[in-house]
Amino acid sequence: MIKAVSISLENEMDLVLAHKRSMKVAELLGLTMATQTTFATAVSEIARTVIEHTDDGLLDIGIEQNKTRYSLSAIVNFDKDIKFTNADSGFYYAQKLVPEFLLSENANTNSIEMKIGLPRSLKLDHIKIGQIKKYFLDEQPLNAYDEIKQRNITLHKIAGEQEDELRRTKIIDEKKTEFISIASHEIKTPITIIKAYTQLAKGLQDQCSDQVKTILDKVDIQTTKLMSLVHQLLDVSKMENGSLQYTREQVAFNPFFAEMVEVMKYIVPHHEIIFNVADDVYVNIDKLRMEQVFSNLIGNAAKYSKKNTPIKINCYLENNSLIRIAVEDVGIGMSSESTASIFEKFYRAKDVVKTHSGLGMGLYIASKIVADHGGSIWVESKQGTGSVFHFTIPVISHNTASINNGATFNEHKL
Amino acid sequence: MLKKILVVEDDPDILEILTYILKAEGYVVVASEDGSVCQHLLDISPDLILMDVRLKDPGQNGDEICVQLKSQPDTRCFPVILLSAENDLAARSKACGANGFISKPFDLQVLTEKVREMIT
Repeated sequence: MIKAVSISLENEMDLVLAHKRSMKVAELLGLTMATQTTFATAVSEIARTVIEHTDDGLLDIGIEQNKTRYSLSAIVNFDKDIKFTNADSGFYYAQKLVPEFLLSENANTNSIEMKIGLPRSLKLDHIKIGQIKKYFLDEQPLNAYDEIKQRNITLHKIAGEQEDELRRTKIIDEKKTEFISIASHEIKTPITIIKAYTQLAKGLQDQCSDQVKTILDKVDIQTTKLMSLVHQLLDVSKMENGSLQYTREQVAFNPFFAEMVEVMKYIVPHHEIIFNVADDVYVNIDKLRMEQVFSNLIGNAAKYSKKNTPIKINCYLENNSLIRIAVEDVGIGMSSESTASIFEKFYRAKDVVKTHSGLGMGLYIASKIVADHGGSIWVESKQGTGSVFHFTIPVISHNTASINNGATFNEHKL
Repeated sequence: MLKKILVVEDDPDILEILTYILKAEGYVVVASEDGSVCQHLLDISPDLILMDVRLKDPGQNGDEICVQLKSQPDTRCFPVILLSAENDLAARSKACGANGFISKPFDLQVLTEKVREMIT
């Protein structure tokens, strides 16, 4: 059947719509007033009977083609558990009104089909049928109820589409996370092998010239860089699916910090690290993860500033409840637009995309680690003069055994 | 007397490198791509076991094997170092009772130092 119009049968108000639209289809086809009325009456009788039993019926009105003959057709679908007999008066009368009346029972729904053959004199063709379909597409609501009903349908449709879209996005997101996790694992094995063979080759002293050794050193360094990128990718994917786990322990902050500074001096050899400590406190941290935060912030400070410039790391004890670490550089700084988005995943400032390599994962990971430790992270920056990254770690207790240890430690270490 | 190290690693290339390096350091190396070699542990009687966490299917993973070794009185004494590229290796090693761990990709120097430290 070529559907011209559909009406859901929910309550008595729909009878009016069913009747009016049946009349209209018949009228547009060019049928006589008598036939229009007969057809519309049959349809509304069946619609009434269905509404008496359920609010879940559906009426389709359209044209059916059988070779060169057409008929006007109405099909009412309803729940398969509903059975009509001639005791239902509407069911009984409707059968008398239309020439063809067919009740069929299907797997999920039952349906009643009513048909009136159309005379050839109406000269029906696809153009005319198209015009009828178009009439109902453009049709104004027949009454206030119809208007609300149509709006409801539109809203339902939009809500459904949005739900589908959300579901699709979620599936894609999960797949992406899973892919990153698998891919980074698969990439790690060959990197391990390359790194090991590189080191092995460097160790073959008598067979390896200085020039080859320099090349192998470079391969080694780049392999390490590649590995850290893969680690970051894996971290991001773990954060996404919530499987990032921390192994926390209570540690004295200052000795841990001193260790970090020593490691960083090795990682950023072309910058001068100047640091200050506060009174020592105990913190509950995952040392490896916290080292990641330090190396990210200090690595960035070095990456975005000139060689041989200072990087200041200051520690402050705030209200005895937080330790705040400030990492300050005198580098290129950033715009206010960048400071607002710098901790977002994969964010990279427009002006550094071409000049500095990176994937925009480091600060996202660092901010997540800091947040998961109960601290916060933020940045102050001015374009052209440098940036200060601050982050905090909650204090568990004071290390009373080492009051002023900060100062002594400072003297000893430097 | 020469110290003996059992290396269990399913990737043949990594196994080859480990074997090469450890032999160069003067150890006797028993190399296996399969974790089931640990069933003959008493015959091999190594001074140290270097074992990958992810081993070939079917079969147990390195940390699972470690749990079993550490639960039996006659195998408990063999020191185990786990190898892995997993980020949570520290926690995993602790959980299965391993005596140490080395993250992949490993630095050969770090590896040999760790082995030396564990074996004496």
